Amino acid sequence: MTPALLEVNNLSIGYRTAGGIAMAVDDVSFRVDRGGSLGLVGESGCGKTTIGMALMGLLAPNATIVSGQARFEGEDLIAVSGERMRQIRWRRISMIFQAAMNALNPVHRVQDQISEAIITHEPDLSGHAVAHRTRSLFDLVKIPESRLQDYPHQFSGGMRQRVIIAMALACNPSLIIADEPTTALDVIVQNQILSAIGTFQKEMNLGMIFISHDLAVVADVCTHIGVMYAGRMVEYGSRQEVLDCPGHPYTRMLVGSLLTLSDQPADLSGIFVTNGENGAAATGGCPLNLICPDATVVCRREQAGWVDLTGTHRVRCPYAGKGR
Amino acid sequence: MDTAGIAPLLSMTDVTKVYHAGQSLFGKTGSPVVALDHISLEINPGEIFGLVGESGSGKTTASRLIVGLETPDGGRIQLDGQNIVGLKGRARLEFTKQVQVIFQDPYQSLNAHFSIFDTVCEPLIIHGLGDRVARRVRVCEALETAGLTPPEMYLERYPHQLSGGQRQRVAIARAMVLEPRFLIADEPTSMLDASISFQIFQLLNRLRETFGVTMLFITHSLAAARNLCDRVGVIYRGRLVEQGSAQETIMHPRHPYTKALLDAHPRFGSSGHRRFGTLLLTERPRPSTDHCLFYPRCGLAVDNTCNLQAPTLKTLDAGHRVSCFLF
Amino acid sequence: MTDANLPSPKTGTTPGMAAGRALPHWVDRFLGGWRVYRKNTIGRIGMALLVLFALMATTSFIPQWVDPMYHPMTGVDPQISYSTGPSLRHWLGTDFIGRDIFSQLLAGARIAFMVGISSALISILFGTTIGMVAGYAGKHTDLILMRLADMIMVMPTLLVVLLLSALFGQLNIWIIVLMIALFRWPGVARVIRSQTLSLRHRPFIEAARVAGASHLRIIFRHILPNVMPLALLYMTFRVTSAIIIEAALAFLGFGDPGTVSWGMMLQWVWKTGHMFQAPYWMLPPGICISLITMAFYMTGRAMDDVLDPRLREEETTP
Repeated sequence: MTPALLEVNNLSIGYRTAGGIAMAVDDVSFRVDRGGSLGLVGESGCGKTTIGMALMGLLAPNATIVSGQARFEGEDLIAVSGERMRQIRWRRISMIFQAAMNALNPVHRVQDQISEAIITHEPDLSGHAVAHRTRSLFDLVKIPESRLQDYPHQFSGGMRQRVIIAMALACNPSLIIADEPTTALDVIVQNQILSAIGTFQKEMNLGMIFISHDLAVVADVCTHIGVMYAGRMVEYGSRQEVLDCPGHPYTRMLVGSLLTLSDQPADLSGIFVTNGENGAAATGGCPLNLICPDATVVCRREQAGWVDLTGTHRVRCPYAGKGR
Repeated sequence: MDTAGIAPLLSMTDVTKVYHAGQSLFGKTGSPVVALDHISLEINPGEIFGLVGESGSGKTTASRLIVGLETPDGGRIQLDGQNIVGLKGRARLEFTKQVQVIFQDPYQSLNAHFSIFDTVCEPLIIHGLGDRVARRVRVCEALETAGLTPPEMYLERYPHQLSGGQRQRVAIARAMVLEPRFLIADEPTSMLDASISFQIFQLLNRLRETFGVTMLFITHSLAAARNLCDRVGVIYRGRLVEQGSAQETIMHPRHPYTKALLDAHPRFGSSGHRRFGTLLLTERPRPSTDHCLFYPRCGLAVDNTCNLQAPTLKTLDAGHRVSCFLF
Repeated sequence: MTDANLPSPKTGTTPGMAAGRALPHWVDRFLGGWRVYRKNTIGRIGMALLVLFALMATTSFIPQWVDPMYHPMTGVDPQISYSTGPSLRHWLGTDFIGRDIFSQLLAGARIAFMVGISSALISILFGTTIGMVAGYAGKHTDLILMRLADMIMVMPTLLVVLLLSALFGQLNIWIIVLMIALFRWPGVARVIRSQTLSLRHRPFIEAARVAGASHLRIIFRHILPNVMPLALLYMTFRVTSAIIIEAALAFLGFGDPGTVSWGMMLQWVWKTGHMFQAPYWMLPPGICISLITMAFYMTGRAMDDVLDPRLREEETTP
């Protein structure tokens, strides 16, 4: 096996609150290969954004990394100094944010903003080279050259998101973290952005972590999928494995909730009766034990360990693959 | 569902709404924005009609016009054959008993100062229904209907103590407590996670089956419309471009825009769907004359036709209507 | 399957919130606000000063109860018929006919509170109602009410009140309170109106309209609780200005001669020519006026911080 681009091991992150440390990410491990893409799926508050922020070194001041490592190109991102992190950030790892409106400065032309991003991180580049890089970036994200001189407010939401992507790619990073990059966009625009992301990711042979609450979107762009619930990763495997034979009850629910465009409409007559959304904070047991239809006494008592279904497909449920 | 010959519950005829600069939601420029352009549609009793479109297409404006939050600039809107535009006083109160709305954003549509009981009970107080005990019973029933069980757990809570899905259920309970005949669901799940969305769809479907409530379901997702609705209308920049049964319209779309929407739908790696490829990669300039609104983006557009006049809705087979010169 | 029916209404975003506790919402908000307020030094100083003045106001009836000669208005020390400096018998001295200055000062605190709070309450009442109606109704109602507000706002309050009192002779303290209130509502109305404008199209208001709620119901049940904190904040500032205007009126000789306000005391100092001869008489009311207006202002400033949403965000969102 070739060494991974990013390997996260047993990462745990908590937030300091008045009542002690609230765990947001609990013992999460995964790897991202060069040219591979991992989709982190889960509902809001499950800790997926916290992971992205931790890898960028942008955690909120009251967050603390309890344990774990994140080996990226031979360095542990958790252990490096703030100075080194600044060098890595944007040059080696960059991020595509959700709020495209806020990430761009309204008083500067988009071209200048991208050039600025390049110059900040690579001050040795000549003006000509910067201009060339800017133009090729716009070419990559398919923004016509005629719009280089425009201001952000003259762009539609989708175009702005493209500019954000161009900025993330400005310094040739090797890892991209995309945090809900298409959430506020319309279907057609979302599709265009997703295919743009897919294209550059393959062309530039980047590693990507794609964070989303929407399994359908993740399934569209990622080679691997990690399903998160209440700060834990509950299932991890290749796209096909996770979609075709989801092992964890929560993943099964997510896959079952995917609305497809088939000749036969989905059965809406009701298979889930639960309303315990956003799950109860478990004390000791599996975080899902209150809403899982298959939960047993064991689930209420103790944490589930990993069960390997195949070499690459792991599920955190003792009953996975037992023909339930 | 064969509904020929049944009088529609709700009908909109040539409804037009124009926002003028200064008072509009989108108007940055000085020119008026046409939010709805001669929209005509009929919704039959007991069915779920899906109105599908992108943001800014005018689908939310349609719902606001129906419930009287805004008045149309032209056309008629009727419930049971009775005009419902510009109702006042008693007539409006009677009308609100029959038509209710579930809003898009459950974080915004509940008053933060109201407990769940106050929220769901308010329509009953407004309409003077029942005494204290009867109201409490009806509120509990409505919460149960919306899947918040046991209801006593929720009565004294406040919106900020609930999750998004639970808040949307409260909003549904508030809408259902008056037992309306017509329910408008305005993108009820666009702020919610996918698995919770699915549960809300199930709930809406159950409401239709249990209470026979007729629904206008507004969405940007063809998949949601496909799975929940009997008939759908596709709206593009304020004009209805295609309308028909959900099965026909979505599985066998005719209009290039509907096809483009289908192309864009995520299909999680699975093949077996043919791509229509009706969307132009680079847009054409917008013609100065009257034109098909989709012309600038349409890959199938015929020059000297589509850019010179606007198409009208043509009825094809089985109530499938398309507004395109290709048919 | 029974477990699946167990709801867990506890949200993920407010981990600090105990799920079982169901306090009324306003109590929750008040306690949350108080937690922020407590950390504010300016607010603490202002609050301490206010407590001190409130103590003065409540104890103002004690001196006359101890001995009738300590009555601030009518009590005269039989042994003194001119102004004397501080002594054990009269802690702050006496005024020109031998009345006790300390008990006058206490009575002045009561008047200051009465004038300040009641005139602020009335102007808030007017301002909030008019602001909500203007913002909610829009169109012509809004236009007319706001032009009226503009007209009153540009009038120099003190000058107009002076003119009126010159016209009608000596004014009762309550008339003064009412006049101050009538001139001070437009500022409140403007702020409340703009807040109402932002609320008017919020979905929860539209939901109420769709449910058939009348305009009155929407204004008082839905909008009022949302603008209330802002109105209360403005009240503290209005108290300040009411006290100052009343003091100025009294000092200029247009106050209610039947009350002992601090402005009135200054007026007596001035009229009897003790301005630079009797600092023990002139300084206490002057300092009190400055301190009480400052106290209300500081409290308002601290409340402003409490209402600032960025500072309210105490909870962590994992």
